[in-house]
Amino acid sequence: MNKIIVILIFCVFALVAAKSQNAIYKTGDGIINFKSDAPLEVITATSKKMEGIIDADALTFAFSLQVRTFEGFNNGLQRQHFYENYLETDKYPTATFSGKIIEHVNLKVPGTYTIRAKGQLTIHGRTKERIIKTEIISTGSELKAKSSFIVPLVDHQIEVPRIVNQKIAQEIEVHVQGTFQLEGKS
Amino acid sequence: MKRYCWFVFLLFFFPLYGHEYHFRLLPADYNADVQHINLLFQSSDKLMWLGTDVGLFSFDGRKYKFFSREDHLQQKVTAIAESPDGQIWAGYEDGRILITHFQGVFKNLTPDSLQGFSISKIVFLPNQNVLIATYGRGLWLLHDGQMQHLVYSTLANIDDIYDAVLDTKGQLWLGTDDGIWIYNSKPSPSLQQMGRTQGLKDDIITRLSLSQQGNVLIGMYDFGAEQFNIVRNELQELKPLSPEDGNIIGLVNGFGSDIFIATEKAIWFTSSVTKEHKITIPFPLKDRIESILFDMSGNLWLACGNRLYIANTQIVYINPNLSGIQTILSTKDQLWYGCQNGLFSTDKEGQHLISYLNQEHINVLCLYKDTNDILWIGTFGQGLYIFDPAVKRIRHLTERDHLSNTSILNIDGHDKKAWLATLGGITQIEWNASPFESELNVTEIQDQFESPPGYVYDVYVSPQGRVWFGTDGKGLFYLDHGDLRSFPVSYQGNDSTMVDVRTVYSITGDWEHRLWISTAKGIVLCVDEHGKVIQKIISPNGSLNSVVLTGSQEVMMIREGAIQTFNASGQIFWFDEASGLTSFTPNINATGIEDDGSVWIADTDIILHYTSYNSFTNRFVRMHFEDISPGSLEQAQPIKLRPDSNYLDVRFTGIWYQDPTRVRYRYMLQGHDADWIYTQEGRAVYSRLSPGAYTFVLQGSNDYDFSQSPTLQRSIIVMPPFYLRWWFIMSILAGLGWIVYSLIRGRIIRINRFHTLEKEKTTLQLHAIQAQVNPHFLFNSFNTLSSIIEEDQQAAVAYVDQLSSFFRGALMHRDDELITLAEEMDIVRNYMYILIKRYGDNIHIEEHITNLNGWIAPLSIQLLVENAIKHNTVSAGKNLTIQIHIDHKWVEVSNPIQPKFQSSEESTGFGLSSLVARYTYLTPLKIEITKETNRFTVKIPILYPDKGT
Repeated sequence: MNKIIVILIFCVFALVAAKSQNAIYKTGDGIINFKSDAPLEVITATSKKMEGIIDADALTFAFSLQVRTFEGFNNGLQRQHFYENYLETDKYPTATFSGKIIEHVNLKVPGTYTIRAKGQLTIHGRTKERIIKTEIISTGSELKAKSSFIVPLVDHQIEVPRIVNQKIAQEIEVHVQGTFQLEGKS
Repeated sequence: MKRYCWFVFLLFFFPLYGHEYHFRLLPADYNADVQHINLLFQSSDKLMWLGTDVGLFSFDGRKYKFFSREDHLQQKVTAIAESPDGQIWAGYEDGRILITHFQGVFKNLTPDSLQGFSISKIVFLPNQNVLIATYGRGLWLLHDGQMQHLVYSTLANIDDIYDAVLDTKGQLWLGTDDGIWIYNSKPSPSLQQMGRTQGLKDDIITRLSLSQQGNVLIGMYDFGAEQFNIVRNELQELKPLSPEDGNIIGLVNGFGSDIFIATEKAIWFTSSVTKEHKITIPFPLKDRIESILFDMSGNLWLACGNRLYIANTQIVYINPNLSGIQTILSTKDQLWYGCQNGLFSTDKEGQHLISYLNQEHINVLCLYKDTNDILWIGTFGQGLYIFDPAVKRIRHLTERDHLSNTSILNIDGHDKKAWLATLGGITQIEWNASPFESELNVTEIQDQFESPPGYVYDVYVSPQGRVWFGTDGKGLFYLDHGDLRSFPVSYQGNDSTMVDVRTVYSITGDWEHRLWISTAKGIVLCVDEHGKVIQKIISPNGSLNSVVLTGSQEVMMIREGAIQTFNASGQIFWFDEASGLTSFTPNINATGIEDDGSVWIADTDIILHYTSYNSFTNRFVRMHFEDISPGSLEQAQPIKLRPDSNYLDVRFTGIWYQDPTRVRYRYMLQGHDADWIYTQEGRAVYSRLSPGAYTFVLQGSNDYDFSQSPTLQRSIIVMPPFYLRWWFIMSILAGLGWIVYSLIRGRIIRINRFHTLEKEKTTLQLHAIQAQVNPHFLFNSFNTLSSIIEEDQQAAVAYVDQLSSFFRGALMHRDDELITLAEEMDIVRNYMYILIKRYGDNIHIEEHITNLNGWIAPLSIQLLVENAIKHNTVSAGKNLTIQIHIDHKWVEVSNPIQPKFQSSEESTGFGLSSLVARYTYLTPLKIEITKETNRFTVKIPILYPDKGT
């Protein structure tokens, strides 16, 4: 009799322990690509070092990027200007986006979901609340997230001198994609 | 680059279609660095409030007023609401809530717990509680000054509330990221969700407002606008939108069932009458539209970036892309345009242009639709066309068909009759079944003088069936059983002479069946059935008017540059350049009436659609006091002014957003001004007001007519200076009274005293005489005499001599106030002789006299001596020595005190005290009486009257 009780208690604990673990999907190599389409010049750059977490149970997320990981500018000087003058990466090395997912979906179930991610987007030290439409394809153990959105420079006080404003767009197109792996339960 | 070229091309060759208002950009003198106006609100006193990124402003049509926070921080205003008692509550991005108090002073109401979270909405509940929706901290209830966080397990995740609205059932609708939550405080607090499962298309609900019917208008983030029908209890689609259209920033009710759906980039219009369409915004949108508001007077406000636009929605412009439009007609589904180059039609939004009768190349001057929906088309020089659009059947009539003239200016009719006003007279057409039948009864109508009435400008069939004609040069006519009769009208001209109406351009009737006619020199007359002129209206520029009756009991006068309306309450309204009418040059009678009573007006290449808002609230200029100095607006009535600041400086403003330049004021300080003072400046100044009570009355109007305007007033009292105050005057009067009284009293006292003294003196004299005629004294004297007679005859004679001298002296001086010392001493010596004769050696009188100048009261020394004898023993055993000292100042009489055991002589008790009394009357110097243990001394002061003592 005692043994059965012990086993039962053990099972309950195990279940509780199992339930209390949220399903966390992670990535360390998400791809962010941006494009500035200005009258005199088109600039693109890509980073493959975006880190991100999606909590499928709490329906929250957090992404972060070391801004200096962008590659692909038209020339080294341009890249330098981007980092030192416009984005001031020595002061603000990280760009983040974190918040919640609006739709009550179960991402653990395989399928394609179009959700909106609402959160605080921080670039150049300035934060703006954004609601960004994202497509997530879930296989249960893996989430492939994709989204595109516009970042107006004025939202994050990124100032571009007038001399070059024909070469840099006021609104930057950003494309994000990442593959998030479900973290193993411990 | 290419993109731009196309745009330009479109602009010039394909004018914008759709429904257009004239938006006027308001001047932006904010005196502050405003980048965004993000919220518009109108309070019940008609004042406009702007929530900007630097704080709260109020706007009265001309001036902006900034409301600074008490911490002087410039923060974005995210919510504005009006409490039931008329105060304005402003919620800021940093969680602060401030209340305006008497236009300027803020009261801070923020709980610390809300710091940092912006206020989305402030809603006042009927039970004096306030619900505060925040973005980030959910819903709060302000109850009895306490802030309470409303937390429900179901609401636990809801922190961000975008918008909130209180519906007609008292339920609070909250727009969140998780659909709509409906909060009910009665009977017990409850929360219900309306989300995807209930049919809501989106989870994110960013806008909520109420329509006039009480339906809840719902703005979603990604799926457009929906409406929750409160009657049918179901969701209905309003306007689907896609993300490219931008977010919905406002859902407002216009007039009636009109709803404006504004997104960041465009405004859509939908109503139960017209199908939805986009409103053309005639200026480039450089910024997002952030707020939209439909005010109490029918103006549409738009906040875009830091610019504020206003449009009067009573006039809508439709551009059908035609030119030379001379007349317009409205049928059930179409608008018909009579142009110089033909006949066209479009739908009611000016779209889907169709042209008709192309091959005829007609110049259309007028249009008329009969009871069977058949169109009658009057042309210039080409006669009459009768057109049935349903079957496309045409009939053409010319002079050969007995028309008076082929140029037809106007057509009207009723039943199976139509009348044509032509350049050659009046033609009447009758038919039986249809105007297309073979035999039409066409008659030229003559006047009673058998001559056609020349040019006929207008024909009007009144609701009673009477047909009127306006001619050129022959005045007004009407039809009376087939006969044309003249209707003479005359009015009083400028020089008081009567002017006959000879030319009538346009005719219409009003709600009281009076006739309105437009005549030469821009004059419009309102005439009753007897031809008497009831009203005369003159256009300022003398241009001729077309008159037409709208469906809302207004007579509309349309002329170059302006539209003027006159309604049943006698109010006159203007629409001109300032209120948005741009370069307006309509033809005569180029109007058509819509079924709902609105008016279509053709202006060469554009159509105006005028909707009357007669049934709308308040068409009056709303007056406000801005400042009253000295004193302030907060002071309780009446304002009391001190006499040293007896001036008045009143500032006021009248709110009439449609056209602030038209506002005029009149004011009067009752008690000072004899009549109203008219001004356009919102200021009244008075200086040097005399003390008194006054009332300042103020009225505002937008049309020179103040008879209907409500009145604003304030009582003012100018206090009189202290020297005019009642208490001062009273005290002065009291003082004076008191002085007069005391003077009189003093005099009376003095008189009394005089009389008393006189009486005393008389009494004294009497007593002195009495004393002298004292029988006792006589008896003693005669005793002494008789004893002397026997002894010594001569001594007796001498004694009698002395006695008679004494009496003579006493008698002689009985009336004198003063006698000389010498005279008195004579009397005294006489008296002393008598005494010595009586008492012998028992009495001694010692005299020390150094002076006999001066005066003394008569019988005074004698009295003292007499007193000494009366009160002291004079016997052989006890001698009495009386001493008399006289120097320059005093007469001193003293004697030792040897009291008598029994008194044989009676004492009048009156002697010394009356002497003292006498002396008080005579001189300030006093008689001194010294009573020592064994010596009695009396000193009488010697008087020198000529020396003043």
